[in-house]
Amino acid sequence: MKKTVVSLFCLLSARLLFSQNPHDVILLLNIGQSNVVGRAQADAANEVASTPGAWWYKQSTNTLETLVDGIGEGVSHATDRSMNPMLGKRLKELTGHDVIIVPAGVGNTFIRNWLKEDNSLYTHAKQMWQDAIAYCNANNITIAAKYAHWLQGENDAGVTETDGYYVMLNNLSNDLVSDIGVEKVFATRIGYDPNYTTAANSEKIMKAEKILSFNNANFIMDSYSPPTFTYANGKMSIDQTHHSLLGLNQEAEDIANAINYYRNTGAKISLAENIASLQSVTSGYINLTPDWDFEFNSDLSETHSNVTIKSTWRNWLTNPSLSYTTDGGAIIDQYAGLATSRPFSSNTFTLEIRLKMNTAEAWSAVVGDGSGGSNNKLVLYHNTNTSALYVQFGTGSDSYSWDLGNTVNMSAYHTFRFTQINGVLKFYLDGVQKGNDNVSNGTFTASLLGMGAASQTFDMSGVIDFFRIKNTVDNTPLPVKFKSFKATNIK
Amino acid sequence: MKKLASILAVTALFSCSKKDLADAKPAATTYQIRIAAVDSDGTRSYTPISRVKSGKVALEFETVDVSNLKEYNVEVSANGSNFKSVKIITADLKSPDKVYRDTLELQ
Repeated sequence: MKKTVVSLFCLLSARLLFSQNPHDVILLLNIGQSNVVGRAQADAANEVASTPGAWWYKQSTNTLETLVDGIGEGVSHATDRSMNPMLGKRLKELTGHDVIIVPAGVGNTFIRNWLKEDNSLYTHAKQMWQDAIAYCNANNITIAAKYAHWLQGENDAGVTETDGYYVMLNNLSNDLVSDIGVEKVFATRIGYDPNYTTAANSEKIMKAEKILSFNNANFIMDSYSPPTFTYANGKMSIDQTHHSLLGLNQEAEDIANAINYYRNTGAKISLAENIASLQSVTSGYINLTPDWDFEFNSDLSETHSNVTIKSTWRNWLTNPSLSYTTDGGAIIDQYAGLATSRPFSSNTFTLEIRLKMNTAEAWSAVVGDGSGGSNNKLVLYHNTNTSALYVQFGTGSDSYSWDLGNTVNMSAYHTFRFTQINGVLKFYLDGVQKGNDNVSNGTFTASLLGMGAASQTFDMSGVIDFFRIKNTVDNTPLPVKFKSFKATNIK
Repeated sequence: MKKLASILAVTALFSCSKKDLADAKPAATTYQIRIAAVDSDGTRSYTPISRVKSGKVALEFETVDVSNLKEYNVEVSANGSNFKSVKIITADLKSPDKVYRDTLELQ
């Protein structure tokens, strides 16, 4: 009888332990790209059983689920094993707090897709996060801490330079704190994927993350492990693209350690590099003096070789091969655009572009910040009935427009130049100022400069021949463009 | 014998004439030719290089964005470097997308 009572008591205790309502939880928003979603192979030896006191939030049913794969749903569904079971387990063991993971990562994405202004994956993650908090409030689950974990995939390596990535990650980190309400953003270093990028390109992204860890109090690097990941040591999957479950578990340990270290000390875990070397990196990559000339001549090279420009689809997922006209201009349409690898921000600037357009088209965003926002943009409106041209240019806070009537034939090349200095914005068409000086103190800011489809609003269809932007005023005319040249002997 | 001497003399005369004729019309020289657009600040923009032989040459080119342009220089080189200006064509600023046609003779 006594034995039976004890057994029943043990059983009830165990059931209570597993079924108890979460309390005083650490809420963790897991965002980023493929490895944060999962996609490790089935691996019985390294699978982690569900841990009492650790759950994931399922938005579609507004429920908490036990932390066993596959975790996540919809675009955030782990196609196979993920880091989440180990993350929940170690976080619970180290901190003693219950853990709820909000799995919002999406594979094969760029950091650009995660920015607030892009209004896609950020919005998706924010809604999931808010629903999770609402669930906690409705079920009397107290929240001890709110953190985000960001894991960068390989897509941005080779596309984005260090300072471009730095600006975007800084914006994302700040928005996660100020807009979504997380307390700290932890980040795992980029995976090095030899199929898609190079170690050098991966390190450009890593430098940005290291500098941000140094400069931004709310951003904490938590892991350095992926450079040691290989297929040979079992931490990379056979595709050499995704981490194995062993690798993901190691990363999960690192994240849990970094969070616990922060909770105990209020400090970031130590970086492998010393501060002096970080400062050296900072001075080399962040103090921009942009002066970029792109004279397209059947290629996309930049005169000073300090920035690259890539052709890109509107959804940023692939890089289309660009076509050129016989005179070397880059052909832009609703699918293919151009995007710089570096950011720009200055309230003194020259922005100049030579282009011609498909006159059957109406609205065309020619240059933008790649976000789809209404500011920091050059838009041309072409009235397809009257051939009238309407020009609109905006900085971050000021916007002006010019009605040029039907005096400009946009089927031929024309040059649009905007200069701003000391609060005065001027517009020149083919070297001649149009309209009056305009009062404008706004800063022209873009984490990248997108042209055509990459401006992320109304797509331009036409040809861009020359693009120049710098943080000074430069009224030097563009090089003359020869449309054609023929020399033949007369018989 | 007399007949043979006459034939040799005529043959020699004919050979001589052929040689003289060749000396009078030397083989044509191949030149590389390009146009330089020169703006009022002295900035030069070039066309790609084309190849022509000595003699009369017809030129045809079209430009855009000539708001600050002064002139076009026709430049010629026999060796691919050391281009020399051999003709100046004044820019027509009233017609920015003008097609220019001109001729010149290269020795």
